[in-house]
Amino acid sequence: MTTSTNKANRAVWLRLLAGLTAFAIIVAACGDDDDDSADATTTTVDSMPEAPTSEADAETPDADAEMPDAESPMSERCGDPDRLGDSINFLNWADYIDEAVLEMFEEECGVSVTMDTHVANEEAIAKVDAGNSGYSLVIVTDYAVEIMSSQGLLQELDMGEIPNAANIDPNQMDPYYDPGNVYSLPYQYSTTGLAFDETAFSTPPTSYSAIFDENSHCGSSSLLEDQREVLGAALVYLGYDWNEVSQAAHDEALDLVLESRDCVTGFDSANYIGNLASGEVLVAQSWGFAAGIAYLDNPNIRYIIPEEGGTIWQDNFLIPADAPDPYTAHVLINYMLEPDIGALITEFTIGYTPNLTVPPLLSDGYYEVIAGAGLELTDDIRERLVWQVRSEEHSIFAETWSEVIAAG
Amino acid sequence: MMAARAARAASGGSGTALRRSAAPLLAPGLLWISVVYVIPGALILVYSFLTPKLGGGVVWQATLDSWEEIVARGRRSDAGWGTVGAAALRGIATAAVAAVPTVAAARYLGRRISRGLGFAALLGALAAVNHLASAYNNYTAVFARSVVWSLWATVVCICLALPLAVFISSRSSPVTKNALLIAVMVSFWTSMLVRTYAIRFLLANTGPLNNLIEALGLDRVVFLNTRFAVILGLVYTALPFMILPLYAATERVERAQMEAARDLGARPPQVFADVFVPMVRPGLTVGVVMVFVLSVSQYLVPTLLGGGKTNMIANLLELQFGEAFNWPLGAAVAALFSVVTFAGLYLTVGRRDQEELL
Repeated sequence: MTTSTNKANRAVWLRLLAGLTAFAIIVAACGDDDDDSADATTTTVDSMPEAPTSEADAETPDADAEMPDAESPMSERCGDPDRLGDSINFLNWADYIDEAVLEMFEEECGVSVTMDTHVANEEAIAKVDAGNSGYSLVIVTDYAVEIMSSQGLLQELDMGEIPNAANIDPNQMDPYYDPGNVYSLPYQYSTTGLAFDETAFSTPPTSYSAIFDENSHCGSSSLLEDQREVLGAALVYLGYDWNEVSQAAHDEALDLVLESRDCVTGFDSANYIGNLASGEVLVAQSWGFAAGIAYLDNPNIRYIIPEEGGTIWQDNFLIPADAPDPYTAHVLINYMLEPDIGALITEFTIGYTPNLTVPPLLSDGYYEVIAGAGLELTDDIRERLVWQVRSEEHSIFAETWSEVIAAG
Repeated sequence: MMAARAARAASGGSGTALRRSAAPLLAPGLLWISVVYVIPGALILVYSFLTPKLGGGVVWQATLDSWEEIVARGRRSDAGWGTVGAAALRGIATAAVAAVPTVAAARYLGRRISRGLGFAALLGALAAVNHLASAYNNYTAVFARSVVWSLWATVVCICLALPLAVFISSRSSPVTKNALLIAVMVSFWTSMLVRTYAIRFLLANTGPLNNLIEALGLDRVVFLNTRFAVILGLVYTALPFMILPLYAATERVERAQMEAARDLGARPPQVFADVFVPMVRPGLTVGVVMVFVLSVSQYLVPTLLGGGKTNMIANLLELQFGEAFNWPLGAAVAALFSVVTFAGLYLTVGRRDQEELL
């Protein structure tokens, strides 16, 4: 009796085990599949003639939009109702917009916005590059605009449809990555510098030496997980240009980073924000807006652009060459450049707005964070900021960084 | 005689018939395997011979650059004959140190001394290869690290899982057994990402574990972003994959045989090595392969618990496919790594004479 129960029992468990094994294999396969399907799609597109561009595709949504929502009168911020689609797919950075904005657009203009998010520019480029992504509006950072436009992945913006572009700060226009703003308009921008807990320093740090050479908080400091930012900081600290590509300079920068490696808790672009707030990290290379977020939890957090310099970066609106509905994308861009909408966005991101009509509308709370955390962007600070350029020759950064990966 | 031959022929015949009739059932599986494994695998190999494109992807122009980078150009300047000598010394030293316990164990278990020496030599060879690979270039260094950490994780998993499996299978009540097995599998019901973050939280400098350590009057310990944390994460993730096959194997162990061995005068370690282990070997082999393969390709664990300071092969791949925009190099690393892992597995557990090892 016992034996047969045991046997039946064993059979059940063996079956379960087989099931689990199959499950594990499927999970592993799905993991592989992500990369591979991207490979596969790219191949198809590469081997096909250029994907047909917008014109024909753009007609389709118009047909759908022939009957505009009769109930609510369309606001004049919604463009031409006859040409406006009723839905749009939008690809944005994760956590980078107050979703109320999307709901407002839907309510006001009758266009439902489906937002997908990405966590890396590379991911966004790969999605658009694969073709037929379905996105009519994409937000990526500066260098990615240059890469995408040079590969014919973008369409020119029709500034006639974006009258609010006139509100944009000339300082933020005509950037290196898109001279004349042919393909892009700025969404938000920020900087990269150092964030630290004021109470941990008798004299506030002014230089990257706080992490590199004279680290008084060994074990409680962090660098970003970003080859360009980390090596760039090391290069300027050593007196080179942030975008330096010479082997000798990179050898020196590598040595500096490897020496500092033991003192930093990690190379980390996400968790350090919470760690700054909790006191686990006392000094960190940081995105500007992230220092603002950490400040909300811990008012002792301060942000500086070190005397050696830091980076300025800007996220941008783009319309892919194969966007299904470029017209609606133009309307949405224009909508997000409205003063009240821009204010909602910047209150959420704690970045800087390129929209000159927005600052008067921002709350005291926003300005309290900016002033309290030391995030004001003065002309003096602006002079220390550089753009990170990315072209073929900058592949040396990845080569140097693979040494950092290999080291531990 | 004739009858036997006829029976054999009949069974062979029905076997073929079965095979033929099963063919349609086999098709979806084969299709799946070819779509999910073979085609992407071939694609990776093809990509490794193409030219990288800024922004990701490839230019369809053949080149050997990626393979040259891995094999030759990435070579570190300080790797030379001195390194080979150092590797050899290290191998010999490791073998010498390991020989003491392995030979003692062989003698104690009544095996030939040469088996103990052979095992020590194998460890020595591993140490030498590891030393060479670590010094040769970035890619081989990360390979070596991934393999060594995964081996550690496998060994720790065996040590933890074997007593647990025996314990579970020796429960007499099926209800208790089921409850224990469900407890082992409960972890699968929560996303691995969440579980890994939970470990991160536990091990943090300001986390509960360190608070406890401080409350005991000791200094806080840096756990996070060390190899300790990464190997812990590997073990944590893979342990059920060792427990379950070992449980299935220990269920089948005939206790009477072990008792017989004991009655015939075998010492407990001998019963373990000569009676128990051979009986659970199939389960052990499955567990070893699954734990090793899962660990060696881990991405979440070294990323979240290693914090960019302790990297495995997947982190190198992420760099190449992400920020570096060098898909061909990433593909070459992946292809080489697959071949090395496959060859290693074949040599250790794929052969019939695996008894040498386990």
